[in-house]
Amino acid sequence: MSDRRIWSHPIISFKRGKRIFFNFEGRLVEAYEGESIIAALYAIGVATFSWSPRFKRPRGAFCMIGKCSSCLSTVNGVPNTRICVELAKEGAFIERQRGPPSMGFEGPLFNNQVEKVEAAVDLLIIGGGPAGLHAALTASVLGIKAALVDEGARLGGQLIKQTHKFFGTRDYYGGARGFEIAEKLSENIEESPNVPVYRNATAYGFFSEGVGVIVRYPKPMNIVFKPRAVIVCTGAMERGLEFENNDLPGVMGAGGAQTLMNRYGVRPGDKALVVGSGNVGLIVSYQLLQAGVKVGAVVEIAHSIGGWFVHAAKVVRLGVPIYLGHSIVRAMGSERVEEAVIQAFDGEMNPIPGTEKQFNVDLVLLAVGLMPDYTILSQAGCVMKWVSELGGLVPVRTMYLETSIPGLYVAGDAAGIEEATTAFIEGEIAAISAAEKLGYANADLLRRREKLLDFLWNEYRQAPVVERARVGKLKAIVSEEEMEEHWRRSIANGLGSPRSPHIFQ
Amino acid sequence: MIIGGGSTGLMISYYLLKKGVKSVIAERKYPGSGNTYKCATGIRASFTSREHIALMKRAIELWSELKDELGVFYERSGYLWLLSREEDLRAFKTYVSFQNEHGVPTKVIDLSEVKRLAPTIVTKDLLAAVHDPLAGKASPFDLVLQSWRFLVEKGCKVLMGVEAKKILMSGGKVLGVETSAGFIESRAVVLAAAYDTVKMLKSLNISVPIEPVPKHAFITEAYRDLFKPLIIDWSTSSYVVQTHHGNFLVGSEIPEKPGDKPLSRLEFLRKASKVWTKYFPWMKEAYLLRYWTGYYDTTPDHHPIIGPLDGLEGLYVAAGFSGHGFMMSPSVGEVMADWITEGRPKILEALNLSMSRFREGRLVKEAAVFG
Amino acid sequence: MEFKKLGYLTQKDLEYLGIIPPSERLKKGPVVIVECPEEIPCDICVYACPYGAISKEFIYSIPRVNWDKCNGCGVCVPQCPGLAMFVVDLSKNGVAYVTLPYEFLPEPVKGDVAALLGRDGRELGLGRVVKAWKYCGTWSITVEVPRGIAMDVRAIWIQRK
Repeated sequence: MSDRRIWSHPIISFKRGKRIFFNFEGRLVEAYEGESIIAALYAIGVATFSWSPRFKRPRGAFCMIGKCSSCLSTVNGVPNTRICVELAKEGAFIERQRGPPSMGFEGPLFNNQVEKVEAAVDLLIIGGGPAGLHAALTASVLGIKAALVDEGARLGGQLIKQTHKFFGTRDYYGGARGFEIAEKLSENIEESPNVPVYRNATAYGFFSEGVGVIVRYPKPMNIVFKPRAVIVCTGAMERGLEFENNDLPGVMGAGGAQTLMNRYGVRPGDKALVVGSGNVGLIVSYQLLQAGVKVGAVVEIAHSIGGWFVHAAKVVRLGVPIYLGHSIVRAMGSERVEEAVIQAFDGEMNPIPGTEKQFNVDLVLLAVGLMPDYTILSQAGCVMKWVSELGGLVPVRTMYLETSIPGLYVAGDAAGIEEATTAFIEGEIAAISAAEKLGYANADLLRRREKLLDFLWNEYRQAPVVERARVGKLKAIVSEEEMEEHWRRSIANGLGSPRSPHIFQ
Repeated sequence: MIIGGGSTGLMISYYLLKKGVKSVIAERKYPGSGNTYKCATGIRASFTSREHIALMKRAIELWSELKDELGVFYERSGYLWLLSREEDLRAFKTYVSFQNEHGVPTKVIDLSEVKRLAPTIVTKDLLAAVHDPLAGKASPFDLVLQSWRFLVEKGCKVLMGVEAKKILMSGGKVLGVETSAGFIESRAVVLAAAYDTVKMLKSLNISVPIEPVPKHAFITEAYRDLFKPLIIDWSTSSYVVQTHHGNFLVGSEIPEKPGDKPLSRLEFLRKASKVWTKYFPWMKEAYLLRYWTGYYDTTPDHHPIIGPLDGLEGLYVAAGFSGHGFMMSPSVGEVMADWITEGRPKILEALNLSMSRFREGRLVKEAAVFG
Repeated sequence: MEFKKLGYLTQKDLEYLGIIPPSERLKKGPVVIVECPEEIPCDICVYACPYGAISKEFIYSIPRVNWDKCNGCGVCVPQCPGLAMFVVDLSKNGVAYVTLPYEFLPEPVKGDVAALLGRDGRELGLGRVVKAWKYCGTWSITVEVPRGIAMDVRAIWIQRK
């Protein structure tokens, strides 16, 4: 039995919980409290977590944060459970699924008593990553009656798996590591008397009765929030890439690998090929080396490095080659990746025959971009726009981050892919805008918002390396007058957004 | 020219083509984007009017053909009407004998038979059920995509993102349609545009008694096949069907005013879940994937308006299906093709479904409506 | 400049960008080398330097070093998020010292032998750890290296299990 656990790491000291055991298809598996089921299984060498419905192809894990469906398993008889976010429990029974699982069982299940709660708050913040945490902290300071809901067991969103020191300015944690920032902000918000935090909580939609939130742990609750304003900070999800055998276990999102190695201390493989040389691809390559995983190469289809030079320099000086104008064309292996083949591409993105190179790797990490997790915004009825610079569909909004639904704000990657510093700042701007609408604002606060906007647009986003995001964000912004005109027109046409938080008043 | 690229418009085009007539469809968004892709996928002839039964018996024959001709998923997996009140059972016994007289093989079945057809169902609140073995389900996605591809291959046009603006008439005759992509000349224009049909005819000073009633449905993640029939809980006006991909598609009626904007309502989720977790307790552990709203474009007698419009030569309507448009689309396509090419449908009962019935007070009765 | 294609700075880039201090300054004692050639929005180094030797006009400007103010203390080395600060000391006869950031295992101990790596990852020989201290998880390690390669050594692997 292989042991993929990382017992010593140069940056992180993994705080593992109590040792427990669960039953995996008749086999006793060791795990630690606080660990996802998938982390414990990966640690002992399991790589296949389901089989495809039709052709029964083995499927590995991809996102590790509950956004994809490749790890749906049956846990204690409950099918389609995402074991990447379901924590390991003593004595649990875990079974993988071969195609769609059976329903129709009878027995002692279904006795989960779910408490139904109605909660009147002024402000609901959905998502506890950098943007949501900052929005919540701002609301906390202002004494706004608010609530923060987050899907994860730990607050911080994707900060918790970032081991590198952040750039930017000291005001926004420049120089601190992502997981340290997450810990600090979580501690601060947990102490807030006016912003209760609901973890393991999924906001499942805007309804005429309110915003529905299901809390899974510790006590199952179905809460209907009736907020007067909402800030959506749902972040982003990783994109896939088309190539032969891209579903072979061992092909994983770069963020998925980060979750395994930096959050749970489990090595995602022995040797990796990283696809994409943006900051995510470069940072994950460096983190792989820190976790004791070799990096065969970074491949990049463009003809120059996508991410910041300093990130590239960090891995190149440690001997990792970067192949520009190349991409992966094939993964091979019977049960998991054993080889990956890359090929050169010409300026028209056509593969050049005879340029194939083969790497003996057991891990292919895809770092080919993120897309905003816009689903709840779209469900709420926001006017959406496709902005390729921002990774896909984003809600149209004002500079103050109010969407086409009055009282519904957006911040962070959900507003368009950017990075953590801008997410912190946007979270604060959105919270101040919501505070203004809710009647909490004073002149000082509005001056603070102007200062933040000035820094964001006239300093930070002026950097040439963030040009693409700046251009994208501009494309998604309309003036306040235009937005107000839209509201007026909608109401006149009877097409107002009655799903708007306003109707919860 | 056909306005509306849903199942009705596509099937009219399909059966016109079988008679050698090529058509152009103008679709405001994309084919299927209206009611078709939102429907419950069920297909049945177990109605309580001669007109519905005649149309649907023919439709069921045609669905089998479409399965072979276009490769559309369709299966005769039945309908199961769950009855829990004495008065409902009495009423359904009369419906069943009416249906049997008209060649629809429904029958009242006992609870052990219900359990055989719907394994794991909890029957403690039930008296009996009605089984319709002739009924079934089909894939709206297959029907739209396969017929669309077929039509385009054979030289018909399906214009996407083209909105019909105004029907141009002269001397009581249709000239063509003004669209967002310019004027399209046609001697025969069919309005198969659901509620937009009403808006289009309003500009010709014709009022059509169709009201859009908001409806709600949700679908779960996919699970292994558990039961075949579409199941209706008559007392709560709710249904559940397992799609051929394995998802459970659920609908349930909640109070809605015609013409209201459909809103996402927790009230619907609560009611639908309550009804179906009572019958199938395991459904509490099913993950809900999507929830959407749509309309039943309802007429006063719950029957569609199909046929020509009196005094407007070349103008035809196929709308107001009151929740049954998808299942009827093949025979409606055939009836409309008959009207257009021969001036008269082969299914004589369809003569009773033209617009004039409202003016003349010849409404048709239908009791078996749910969802 | 080819650094966005190569992933490292060439001799030509270093000269063009004015990253290398004048030789008179190098002779005087240790001094910082800031290999941050891209305009990125970050000003951690500006505030890290206790002598005010590093400046940026805007947050995204390329950092500028005042060679007279810098005394090569190396406080900035483990603080730079981009791990782009190095200190080179060419003031001693016969040997040279390079101070660089290090975030790997094993943890360095004075006297450790280290494989010396160039900007492009090539092995340039062996050196010896003469000083190591840690700031917020990042080591600042000073290695003694052959004089001729002091301007090329930018990473190490410590040769110990």
